[in-house]
Amino acid sequence: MTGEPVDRVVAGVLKDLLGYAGPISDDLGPPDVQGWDSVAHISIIEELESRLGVKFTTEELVAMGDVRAIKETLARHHAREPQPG
Amino acid sequence: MSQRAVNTEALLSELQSLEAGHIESWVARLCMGGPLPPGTVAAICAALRERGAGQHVGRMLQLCDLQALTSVDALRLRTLARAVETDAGRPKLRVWVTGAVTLDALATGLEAALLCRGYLPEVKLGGFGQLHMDLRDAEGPAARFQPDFVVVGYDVAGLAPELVQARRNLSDPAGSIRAGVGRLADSLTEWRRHSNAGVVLHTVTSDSLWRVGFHDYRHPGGAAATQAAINRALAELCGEISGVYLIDVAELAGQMGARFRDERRRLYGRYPASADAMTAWGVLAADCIHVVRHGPRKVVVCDLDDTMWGGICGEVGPANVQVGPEFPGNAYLEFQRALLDLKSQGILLALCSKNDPETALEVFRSCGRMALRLDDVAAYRIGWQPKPRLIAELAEELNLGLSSFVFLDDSPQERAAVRQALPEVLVPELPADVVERPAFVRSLRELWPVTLTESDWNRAQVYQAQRERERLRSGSASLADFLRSLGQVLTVGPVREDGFARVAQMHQRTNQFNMTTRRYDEAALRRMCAEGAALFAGSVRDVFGDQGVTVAALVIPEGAKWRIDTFLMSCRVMGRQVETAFMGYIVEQARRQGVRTIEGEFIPSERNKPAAEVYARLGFAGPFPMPGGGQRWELDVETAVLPDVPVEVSEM
Repeated sequence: MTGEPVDRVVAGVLKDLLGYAGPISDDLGPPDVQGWDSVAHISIIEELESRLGVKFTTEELVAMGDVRAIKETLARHHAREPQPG
Repeated sequence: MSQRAVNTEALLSELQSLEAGHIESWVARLCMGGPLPPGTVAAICAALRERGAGQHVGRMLQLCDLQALTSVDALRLRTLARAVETDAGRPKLRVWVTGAVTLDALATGLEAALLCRGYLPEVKLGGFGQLHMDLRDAEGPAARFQPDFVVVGYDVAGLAPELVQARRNLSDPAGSIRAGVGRLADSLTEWRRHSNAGVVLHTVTSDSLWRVGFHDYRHPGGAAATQAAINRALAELCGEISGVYLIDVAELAGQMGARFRDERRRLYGRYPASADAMTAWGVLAADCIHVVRHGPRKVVVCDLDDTMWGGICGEVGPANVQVGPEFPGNAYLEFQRALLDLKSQGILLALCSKNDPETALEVFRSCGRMALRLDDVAAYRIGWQPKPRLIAELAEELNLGLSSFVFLDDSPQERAAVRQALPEVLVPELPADVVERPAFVRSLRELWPVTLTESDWNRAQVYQAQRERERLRSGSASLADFLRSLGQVLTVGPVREDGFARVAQMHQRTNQFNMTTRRYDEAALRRMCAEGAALFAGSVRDVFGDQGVTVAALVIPEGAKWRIDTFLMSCRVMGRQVETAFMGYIVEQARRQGVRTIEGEFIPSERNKPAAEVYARLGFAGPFPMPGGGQRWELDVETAVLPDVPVEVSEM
């Protein structure tokens, strides 16, 4: 798990995979980014998994339709993680 | 396994600190070191662009180690390269990707690989599941795209759904296989009616088949038997329809192991394999296309000490070099066997070593443990001159361009020297660990054939006979004396049914004596002959042996005129006046058929300078400029008198 804000990680992934350099907002999703289709979606979420050090279920992957959903799913994962100390 | 250790961050900060004027030499220095990991190449390309030095991106892309390409790297490289003005003069290549599964990652890997191989590719992905429509519809999007190649992807369920769905014929899958592969064959036959584009099919894996536990291999309906039967049927299909090639994805799956499968992508995205596997599959298809377009490289030049055998023969003595049944000698022995396999595929083996010639050759004579013998070798240069010079001499002796060469050497310094001086030569990063080398040699796809003909088996013998001829030539008073003493016989005639494969192969392989460099494959040649063209070919034999079919021409009748569309001759018989005798035969045929004029064309390429004067020498009038470049030459059939040459002509 990195300390980097989720927005920045999402921005990095979208730039590297799809060449997107626009603003990142909670509402940003597939319709707003050229090339973010259902197939690219798997690559985007998998790249997020690798950069954030998490593993989503495939049902979660399908349901993550915008940046807000990504953040919410991540928060659920954090809540489930055992706390240090 | 052969990747050099690279610190990408250090390279990037080096680049950042460079003055603009030094970037070019920095890139050149990187090139001397050989292939780089794709992620490093992508990062450097991006940095070059940011520095306004995008003109070097094309060169950087060629450094990409494609065997290590991941799906993310492929996306990054493709995005980068598309945005950059790639250098002019790259050959364009149009590829249509279609199938019965999700193929986007394959298409991306394919496009990235073609870019790195020096093409300007346009890769288009057909609609999901449109395989048969794409192939059958002469007015459909695939046909309208006019691709040079079609890459087809499927899994067992997409190819033969009967096998996976109904489970009706578990004990006898043959009927379902026939139906599935038959459907594909019908679609490809339809495709051939409106397109000559090459088609790349692939073998299937056994993932979705019924695996009968411990009994599987013994059950006729088990996964192993069914997979083997499907793949055999696909291979037979390639033999029936010309211009169809088969890449071995089942073998790729074996190499990638657990990384090949991805259940998430399979069940959610209809991927037949993981994204990285689909990328590797795209690279495999690109490599196949590259070899179909250019033919495989033809010569492997190999160093001796610590490459062919372990140890320095001049120090340990010729009888004591490491080669034999025990480690590490067995690694060198297997390396030699891998070279001999290449020889059986028509690749010429040559030696290049900094050594005392007598000592080095003594190893071949006195060390009984060697698998490779001196008579397996087409040519050698052993001495103390720089290796680039020795390799250039080998190219001259074998009469082959340097772009046909691969150089294997354990020394990074020698590899760098050859890369710098002879950039056309392929210089792979031979692994430092000897145990990895035999598999590495077998994995060099630029040496993989797409067809094997009889002439591949005896190519090395042909070149040995060539050396005998050279000896005779240097002992003859004049060229005319030499040619007469060869007793050459040209057996010539229209190409028969079983001759198309070799003539098509010549169209792919011949560079120097190739008047138009039009690279027709077998399908195209057959189609043009069916439409009225005449394809003539000749084989040459002399006192030293038979060189096989070495000269060919495709003639298109246009009223009272014959236009020679392609005219090519193997470098094996260049300089022996065979082309004059062959043209004499064509003129004779033209006379018999009342043809008035024979028109020849010469389209200059980088490599066909040796053919520039041929039509002038044969007495054609010209040159007249051709629209779009090139020269046109004309011969009046009635008055034509060709020079008398010492070649006896015998009609087939």
